[in-house]
Amino acid sequence: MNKRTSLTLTLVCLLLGFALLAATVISSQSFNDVLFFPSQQRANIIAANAQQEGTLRMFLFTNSYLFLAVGAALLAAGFWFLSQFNLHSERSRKAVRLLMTEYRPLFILVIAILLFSALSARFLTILNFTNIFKQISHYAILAAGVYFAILLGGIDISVGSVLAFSGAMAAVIIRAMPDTPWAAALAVVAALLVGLAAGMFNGLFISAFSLQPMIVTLATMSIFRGATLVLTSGVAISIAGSRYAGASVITALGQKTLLGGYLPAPIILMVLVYAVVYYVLNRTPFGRHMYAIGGNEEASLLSGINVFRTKMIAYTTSGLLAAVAGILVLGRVASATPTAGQGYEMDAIASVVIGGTSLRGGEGKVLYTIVGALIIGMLNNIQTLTGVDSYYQTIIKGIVILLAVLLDARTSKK
Amino acid sequence: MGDIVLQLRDISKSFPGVQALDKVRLNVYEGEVMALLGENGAGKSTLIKVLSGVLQRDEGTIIFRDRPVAYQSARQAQEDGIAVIHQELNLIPKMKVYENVFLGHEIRGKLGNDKNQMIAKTRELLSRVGVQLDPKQTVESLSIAQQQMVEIAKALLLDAKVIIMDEPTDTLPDEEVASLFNVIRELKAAGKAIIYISHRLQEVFEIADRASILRDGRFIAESMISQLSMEKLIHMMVGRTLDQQFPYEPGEKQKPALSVRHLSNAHVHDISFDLHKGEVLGVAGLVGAGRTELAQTLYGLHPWERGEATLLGEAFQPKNPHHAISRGLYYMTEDRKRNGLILTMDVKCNITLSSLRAILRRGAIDNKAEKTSVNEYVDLFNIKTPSIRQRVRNLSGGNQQKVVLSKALMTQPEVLILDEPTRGIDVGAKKEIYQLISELKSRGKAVLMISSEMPEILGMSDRIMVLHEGRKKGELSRKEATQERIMKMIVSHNTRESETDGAKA
Repeated sequence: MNKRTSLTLTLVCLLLGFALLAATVISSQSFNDVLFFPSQQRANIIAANAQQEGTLRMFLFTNSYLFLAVGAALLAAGFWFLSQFNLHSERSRKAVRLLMTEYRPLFILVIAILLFSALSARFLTILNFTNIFKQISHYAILAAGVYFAILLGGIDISVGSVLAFSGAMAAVIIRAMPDTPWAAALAVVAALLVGLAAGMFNGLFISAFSLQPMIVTLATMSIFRGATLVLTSGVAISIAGSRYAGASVITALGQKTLLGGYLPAPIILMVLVYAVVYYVLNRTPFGRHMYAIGGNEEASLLSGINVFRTKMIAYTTSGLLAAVAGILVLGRVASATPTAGQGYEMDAIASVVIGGTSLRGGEGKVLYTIVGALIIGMLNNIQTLTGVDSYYQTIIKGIVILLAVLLDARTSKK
Repeated sequence: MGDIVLQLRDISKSFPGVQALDKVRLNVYEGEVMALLGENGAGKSTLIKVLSGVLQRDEGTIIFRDRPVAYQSARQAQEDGIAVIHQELNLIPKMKVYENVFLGHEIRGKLGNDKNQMIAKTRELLSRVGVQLDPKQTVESLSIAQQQMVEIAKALLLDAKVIIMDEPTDTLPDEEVASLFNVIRELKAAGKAIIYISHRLQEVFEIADRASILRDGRFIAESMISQLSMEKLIHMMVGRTLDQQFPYEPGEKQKPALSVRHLSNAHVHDISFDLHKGEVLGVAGLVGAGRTELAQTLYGLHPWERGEATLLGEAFQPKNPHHAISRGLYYMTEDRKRNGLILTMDVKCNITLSSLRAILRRGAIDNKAEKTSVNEYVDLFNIKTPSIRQRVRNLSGGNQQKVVLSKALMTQPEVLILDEPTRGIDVGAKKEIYQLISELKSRGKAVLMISSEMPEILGMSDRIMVLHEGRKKGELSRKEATQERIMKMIVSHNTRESETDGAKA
């Protein structure tokens, strides 16, 4: 294919795809604010607007799924043609390579923001983003801990269960001490201790007995979930109500907002956690040692690094951060449910992976984990805004994770 | 003299900021071994990559069997008859020999692959180079030399006309080098052309017919080996004469830095020695003599069962490497890529990895102090890197080794154990490392040097300790030591041992 045909093809595909998407989106959203309607509602709209049949608007609306698919396919084809350009200058080749490796999470973030803005007018608003950040804060905090594990070349899938266990512990303590305001302090400390102990338990099995982190945390995921069920007797423990004086501090952590609703407390906590983690990773010997162990454990040992201690601290921190998230989740709903945080470990791991951290360990940037969490949060958000069925949302999230891993494997080989 | 089978003309290749190859020529003749020589960074690997289709050249022509070629991938080159045998062999350990040979080129039978035919063909290919090997063995059960034979069989299967061998003897014990050379001679006799890359110049004189020399990405000369001397060759490679390869200077006898008495564990038996300040104690022995294990035991990697040691006048029994380092002993491993370096990290982080405590300010790493001390080492050792943020995996072997040395020296050790300190690095870098060892000696440090290269041991050591099968077989002073004496020591003790065994029985 010569240069001119490929250029024409690229432009035609990109423009046509974008135009088709935009036209379909505009026509659909003129009936209702969403893109994907339950089929009954859809039939009702078509029936109610029967007199308009034959107009372009109705044509686009009735066939909106087809056009959305074709539009998306055209865009994809356009990007594919774009990627086929033989870049001759060394500089542009290097720029593309950097975009696809070093800055990939940021690149995906920008593309996602552009695309999602086109799909819903309600997407790119400050309040919506506040909302997205609030929603991601829980698993983003988990993800910071999981990042430690993945950086070491391991993984921690028990964090969702630790979250539930520590939240339940806090709730139980508050329930047990009605009318005592300082119960909050005790509850928080107890929750953090639970997280600490759970993390140490993981760390001990992984580093002292050299077991596979995946298997160890798979087992403890089950253990801590079971412990939560025992502690709560399988029912939600509510801490709402004025009798529980201690609850107010915890609900404030989960719900309070500053700056007229634009700055919820969980976001502040998330930023704080990441600031500390960033500092630890980049400025302390412990952080340096984690990168080294993830890169080459044997060489790290021979360089005089205390591998055992470093791993212990890393997994313990992961448990501790899960407890922090547990307190936040408890505060948000004022109730500890035995299923709290179920599936959060997947969102946390996905955040780390989409954030470009190598699953082989030793390489990654922790701040990109927030970017990864943000991308997942935006993806959930846009699907809700456009009315995608929540069952399908789960499938789509899985597909996105698969694509992220595929992209990582394809680009890191080169 | 055979006909020219492969001709590279005016090959140029540049990477961002580096002209890796500048109008390089190379002629390869049928039935001959062409040694491709040059220091690390001279452009040998780049040239091989261009030739075998891994990299694309910027300029120049390649003529293979009278027609110009431009391979887009290594597979294309392979199928056209140019085989590369890399230093890290490309075999699948769990699979059998014949499966490896036929990997991707399996003979199909009625039901799946035709095993018997493949086995027979493998046997035939191996016997063509005079090798007896059971094709049904798994590759992991073979020695490295035998694995190389499997690679060669792979090349023969595809009827390679040119076989490129990249440092084939680097990972080979001395005993097996001879059998590799026999195979190379068989290949020559069969009319194959060999491109032979090695840092071991003595081998080149033994096996090669001609040599082509590169320096800094430029072609320097092509010459018959018979018309070259070692001095002339080195001169062409480094562009200067290395007047004295081993910068040895005798030192005064000083206090012992490390004394070991009756050290025994699962790997070594009853080892006693003194290592003095300002001294290089060489450790000689065959592969598997327990030299590395002795070093690792002293570094706290293996538990001690019996025996004791004093380090700088105090009792010493390290629990782990961290402990050993804090007491002033550092061990540099023999395989820098496997366990000496963190390849995912940059030069800076590798150098400071063992001594982060020295550059802390209020609990945090002081970036400025880190940069300053790293730059000191980069200048001191003349480490060639575009920046201290460069990943170590992108450096040449010699520069990587200097990074490991910097890491070791930054911990300010009084006793330094070097395990094969110059393995796989070029003549120029070797010389620099020898100079450094001398420098350390003159500053009163104690150096225990393990090496399989006899000239190195003989040239650098004040005394030599000989190990065999985990036991100390004796000690030689610099004056007494010769290669023959060392070998004799190994052998004679063996016989004496069997005699005593016999007496007991």
